[in-house]
Amino acid sequence: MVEKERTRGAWESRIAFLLIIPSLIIFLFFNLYPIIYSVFLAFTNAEFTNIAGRYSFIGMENFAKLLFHPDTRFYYVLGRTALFVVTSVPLKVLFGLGLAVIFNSRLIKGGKILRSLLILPWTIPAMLSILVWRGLFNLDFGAINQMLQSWGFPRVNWLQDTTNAFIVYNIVEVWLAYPFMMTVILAALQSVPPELYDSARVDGAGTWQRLRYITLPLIFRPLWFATILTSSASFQAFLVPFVLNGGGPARTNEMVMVYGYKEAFQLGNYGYAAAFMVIISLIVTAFMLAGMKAGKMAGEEES
Amino acid sequence: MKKRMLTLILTVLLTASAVLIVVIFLFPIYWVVLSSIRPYGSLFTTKFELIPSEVTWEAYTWLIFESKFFLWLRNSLIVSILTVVFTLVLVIPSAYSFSRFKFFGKEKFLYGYLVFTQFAGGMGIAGLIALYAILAYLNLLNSLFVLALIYAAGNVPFNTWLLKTYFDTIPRDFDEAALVDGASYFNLIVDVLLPIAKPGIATVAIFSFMGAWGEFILAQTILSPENYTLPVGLYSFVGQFETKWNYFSAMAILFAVPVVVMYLLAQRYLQMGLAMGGVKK
Repeated sequence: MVEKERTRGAWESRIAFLLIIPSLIIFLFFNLYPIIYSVFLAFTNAEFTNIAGRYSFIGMENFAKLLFHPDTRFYYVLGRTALFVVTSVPLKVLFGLGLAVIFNSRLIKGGKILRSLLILPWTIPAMLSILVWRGLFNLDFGAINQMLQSWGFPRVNWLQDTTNAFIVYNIVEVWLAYPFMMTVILAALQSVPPELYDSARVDGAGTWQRLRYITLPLIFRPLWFATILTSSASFQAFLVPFVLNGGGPARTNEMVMVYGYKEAFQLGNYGYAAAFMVIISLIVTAFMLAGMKAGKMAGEEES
Repeated sequence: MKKRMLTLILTVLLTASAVLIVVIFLFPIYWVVLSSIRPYGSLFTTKFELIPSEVTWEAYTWLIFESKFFLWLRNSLIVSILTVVFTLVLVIPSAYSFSRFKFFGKEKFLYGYLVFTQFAGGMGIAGLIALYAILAYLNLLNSLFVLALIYAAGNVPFNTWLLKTYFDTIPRDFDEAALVDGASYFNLIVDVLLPIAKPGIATVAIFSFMGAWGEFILAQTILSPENYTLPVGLYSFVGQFETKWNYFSAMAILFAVPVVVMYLLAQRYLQMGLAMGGVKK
């Protein structure tokens, strides 16, 4: 009897593995292996002429060039990216929070329909939305410049100027992110039991005090994790700069992802770009881990 | 009485501002629709027109008779449908296995998938560079089939979790009863479990389709012009020196409509699938 059970168990785990193996192999080969392989590439001289397999090991050369070469763009690109995180994340959080608070009001007639209309942009592929924004900010036929001119202002060269383009990145990033931010925060707001507000009101708490002492502490954790996720997204912004103007003009607005991509696929410096991306990945992972840990700790303190 | 007046005023004010917000945020969509039905020359005005003075279907007739739209559409459909098929074929058996069987290292595999979905994002371009080198070495660049396989591979971790938690909600009695009746595992999955798990499977299928439909970076990196999918084709169209913006707008609308409609129609399914699957977990 025991023997029979055991053979059945062995047979079951063989079936179990058979069912898992195909997905596991495909996943390992196309997802995990490239990531491991990229670390190896970072120590090679892979470039256009030898990418199909004839590159060789060159030790730390790529990393040394990245970090210590006098002409390295590493620190500039990293700084530009940090600036984008610092400007776009507060904007995204504020817009998400503001929209969520407004649309959480039960006084709005037809709120449900308006809400689902408002998050409609979420369903449109991001790269298409960004292409449309590229048109909206076009010098000649863009609606933004046409509005400015209709109101008597001069037209603005949005995408071929470093600062202007950076402003456009922020606007587009907010537009792409608000459906997510608003939805997360709205869900958090709606999970606050209304009785809490009622009893606070009875105790004489004003609107500001209710927001400060009831709403914010209760939605803090979801808000924090949404902020971590959206910060990581800002740091890794690729489509927004790449599709709007290629990180231009003259490479002045390249974020880390765009820089890595262009070094590899437009300039053919595959090994050098892999080294760059490995360093960036370490930064992102450290940031995510620290953020999640801080969020967990803050959550434990409160409860 | 005074309080009721105040509530009424607040209702009107809040509703009005909510409508205004929706109008402002959705303006880009309206503008694309507008641009697609205006004659090319009239786009270059210095005055903003909310309602066009001239309307033409020229962009749409160009799209149908002269553009590369249908070539790109064909490629996009091939990739997206293949991605859905590959994803389902890979994920359904493995999710079933994770849900029903005990085996060595099961928790480790599941945990690995979870960690991967949370942190692999940071390796995006690094992985892409290595993937390019591997595909170049194997001579597999510029293949729609391989592209779909890579998309499906990327779908494995999250969707295995989603469907596994979905299968967990289906009582095991169903399995036992079917197996006692002499059904094979294949029959059990196809005839008994799949019909019950329809919302979960629909969620996986729709997400896979939408992901493949809109993906740009990988497609742009490995495909050559004859194999361009819609996102890559549209990007190359805008990248040209002089962009016929009315033509682009018409193509953009036809590109976006299927996924938006699909999302709206499937919204109920998606919420059901997500609520019972991953999120509740």
